[in-house]
Amino acid sequence: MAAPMNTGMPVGIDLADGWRIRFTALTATTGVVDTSVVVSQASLLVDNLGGGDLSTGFTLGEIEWLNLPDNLVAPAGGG
Amino acid sequence: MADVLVPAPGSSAAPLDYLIPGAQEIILKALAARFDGSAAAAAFYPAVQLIAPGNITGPTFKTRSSVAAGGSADVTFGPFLDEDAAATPASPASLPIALGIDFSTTITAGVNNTMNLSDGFGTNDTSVFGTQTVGGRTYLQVKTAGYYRAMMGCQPEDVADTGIITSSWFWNFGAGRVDQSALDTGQFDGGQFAFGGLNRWLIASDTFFAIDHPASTAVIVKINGANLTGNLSSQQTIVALQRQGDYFDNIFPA
Repeated sequence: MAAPMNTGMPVGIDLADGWRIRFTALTATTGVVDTSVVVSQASLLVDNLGGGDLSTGFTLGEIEWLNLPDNLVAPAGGG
Repeated sequence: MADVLVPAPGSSAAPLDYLIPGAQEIILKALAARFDGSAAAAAFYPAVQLIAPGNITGPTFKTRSSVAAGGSADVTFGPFLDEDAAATPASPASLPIALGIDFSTTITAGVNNTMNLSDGFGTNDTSVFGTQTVGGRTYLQVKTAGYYRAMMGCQPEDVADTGIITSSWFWNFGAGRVDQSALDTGQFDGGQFAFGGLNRWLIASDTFFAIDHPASTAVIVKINGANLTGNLSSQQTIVALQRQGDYFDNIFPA
């Protein structure tokens, strides 16, 4: 069973599309992301100003392509 | 419109992102997640980051204390929250105190009397207090310089239970009892008397502490206004010496 913890954040953070809310784990000694930590049961309590569907925002299992080697090219013919 | 809860449909290795869908706008009220560090080899901070369009990292909100390697935490991020206080607050340190007991000394009128605390000794800090025998009498010994408060209670044998007792005693500090630096007068109704108050005495280190009933005190004991003519046999006398805390020491350094 996981220990309960609380931490503060500002009131009234108003975010529009394109912003990301990132749940992460930062290694205590270095501050880098510890990818061995698994994040689950994440949830956002929000005031839905836009009124639309918000359920599609989580990107589970998304692969980060930002640091690919320079010599890696897309396969011929596309996907 | 009422607030809504948007749950993640599964789990992910950190980081887990929520991208605000197109043409939507939200106000964050609170966030929650479980951070399972079963495979973590080092301590970590559960955190939430806001990432602006263009992958620009904005503010980071993290827990104040870290989760140990292999540990897990259910974390709520919200306004005005902070981590719970420790379940058991640290206990304040007790002030060092010593007790000395005299069951047998008879206080004789007109002569100098000194209590002999040979019938019992106790302290919660042996680095501050001990006993010292000088001239066949046992005294409380102060090992550490500082301010001390002295108290004494006595149950005399020879005094009627209804009497009002007034008596003066010297608290003496120093080898040879040459430093008669203090005089306390006590009064108690009911056959017992007690001395001591808020007075604090500055005592040097390695000093023994004597309690004298001086011959020079004209009035030894009064019962209902009349002087007691006989002797006062201290059936049970308990002396307490308590070192005062850093608060006093800082104001009046020894």
